Amino acid sequence: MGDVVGESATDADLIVASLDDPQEFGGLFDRHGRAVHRYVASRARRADVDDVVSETFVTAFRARSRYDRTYGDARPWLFGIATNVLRHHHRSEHRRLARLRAVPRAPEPVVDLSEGVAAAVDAASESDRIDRALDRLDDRHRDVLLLAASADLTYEEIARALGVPVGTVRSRLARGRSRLRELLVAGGQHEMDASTVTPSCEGSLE
Amino acid sequence: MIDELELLRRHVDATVDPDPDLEPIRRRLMASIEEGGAVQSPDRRHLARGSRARPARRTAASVVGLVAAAVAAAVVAFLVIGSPTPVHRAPRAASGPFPSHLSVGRQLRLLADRVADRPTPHLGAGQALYTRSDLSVLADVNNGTAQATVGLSVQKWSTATGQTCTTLTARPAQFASPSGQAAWVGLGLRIIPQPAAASQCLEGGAGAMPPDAITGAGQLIDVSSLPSDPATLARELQSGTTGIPVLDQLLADLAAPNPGFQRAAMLLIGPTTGDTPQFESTLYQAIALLPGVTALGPMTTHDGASGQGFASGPGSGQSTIVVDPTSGQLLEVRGLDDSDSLTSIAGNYLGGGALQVNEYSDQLQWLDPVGAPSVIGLSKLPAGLPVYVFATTRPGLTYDQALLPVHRVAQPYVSSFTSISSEITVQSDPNGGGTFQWSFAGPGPIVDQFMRTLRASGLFASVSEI
Repeated sequence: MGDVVGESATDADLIVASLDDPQEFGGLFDRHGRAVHRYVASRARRADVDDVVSETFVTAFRARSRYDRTYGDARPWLFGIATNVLRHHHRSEHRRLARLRAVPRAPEPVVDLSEGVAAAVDAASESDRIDRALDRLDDRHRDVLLLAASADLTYEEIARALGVPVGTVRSRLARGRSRLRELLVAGGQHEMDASTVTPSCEGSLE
Repeated sequence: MIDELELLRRHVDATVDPDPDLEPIRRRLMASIEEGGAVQSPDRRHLARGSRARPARRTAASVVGLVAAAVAAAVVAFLVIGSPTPVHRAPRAASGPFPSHLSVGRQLRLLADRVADRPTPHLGAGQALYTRSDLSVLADVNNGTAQATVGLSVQKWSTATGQTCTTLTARPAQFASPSGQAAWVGLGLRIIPQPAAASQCLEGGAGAMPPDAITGAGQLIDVSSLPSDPATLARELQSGTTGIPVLDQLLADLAAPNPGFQRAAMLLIGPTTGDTPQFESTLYQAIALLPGVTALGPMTTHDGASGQGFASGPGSGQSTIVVDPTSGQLLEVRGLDDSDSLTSIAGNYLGGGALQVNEYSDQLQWLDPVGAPSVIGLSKLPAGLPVYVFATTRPGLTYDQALLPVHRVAQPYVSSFTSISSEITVQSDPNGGGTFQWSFAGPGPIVDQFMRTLRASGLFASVSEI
């Protein structure tokens, strides 16, 4: 019962095996559950994370007969499903970010804060600022940014996950990065990498 | 200093539990597998939207979003350049209001006859479909703490390939009373959004993402694949199995009453491509087959037009369409379940001071299409629509080697760019090439000239425009 497919088997092999023996699908969770959990945790309310991850794999299980077996690596497929499930939960995602916004900002350190406390306050403030900026991004841009940053997918894998052309991923990533930079700068003058702007042209931009 | 993606990676590392307990999730999954091992044909909607049970009816609490979740998109004050050519609509059958004794099915079938020969827009290369609608949205902040009615004008330009640019222009918020206005302002919200317009462009294509809202950044809907049989179309509209994500996913989490009627209304709102008079006729016949549809008789729209009304069901709280009985053209939609009308512009209502907004919801009250869809040449698109140019260095040219010559090539065009970015294609390979990206404020000869210059430079293996 289950686990008869060896470690060298591809994800596609596991999925095919699970058509005969559904228990084999557990192997897919063992391989990618942690990565999917990380991605979902970066986007969903903490109380919803386990539900979303569970729903992602159950949905994948139901859809496994239609998996394109020419792809050995199932991560993009799983992240695509997770993104769709998250979209259903997007309002809870927004609510999570809303609460972050509602929390008063940490007070500015005035006197004698130890270096460690000051660093912690700075980190919390920075994290809050990034959450706010993410919150204001369009869903499409947030999807590609977090699939790249949180799920570590390549352009091609993101394209597969979202069912869009690679060019669209590049376009959305470019716009998303640009927009995120604007929001971060507007929200706190975060220092962005000068290497993302052609150096000698930078000063000419408005 | 770090770039945006690295910043996000560190942010995720810092905020996400690196060692979550996955065992409970695994147990749940395996239990589901044991229970659901018999599931042989997964429901397409489950794949797209997940399998969680939907609420029976949306409540204020279930439609909440965030004011600040909206995209404060780059705002361009568009003016439509030139006069769009209206699509002529000539009725075939006898026109005029329907006699009151006709059944709702007979009225809709009569409407189907009347639209059967109506010309529909045909989009060719180098053309865009232009549509405009006015609408009214009720916005509720913090579960009734403040409410306002917001008037919006939505303009869309869609190409045959599905790329759609949308501009929302908001009018000042209206309040039921001075105290209502005080409550709104007291939450740190503006009465007049700043800026008052928000624009967004989306790529098309089969894999394109569904829109946030009917009235938001919705894309062109290709109806050419929809069934020509009214009964089949009605069934697919009702069950959300048309295969068009924009339609199928729109209401999946709302369990709206008579979703088929709402999806049909969305097709009437458009913009659509692949449209034929026969399809519109089929659509009205399909509406006639949807359960519960009722005739409301003669109605007047908010801008004073007279039409024939139909509702998704009896009683109040239903979705309603008002159509011109002569041409079959949609005149007004009311009560559509569209809770994201303000998404693209809501952030512009945020003031600069302390925010006390925890959540908001919005409900479309009515939508009036303004005029018929029009076809215009791409050369008459408003200036300001973003254009992105991508260029990837040729093999053997490293990113570092490319930087300076690329800069020299691009320098004459710098004043036309709205942004510039670049990245190493293979980040782990210091000898990897690079992809350079430039954004322009609008289409035009300068983009074509720039692309020709890039191609002629010999620096790039590929140069493309999106």
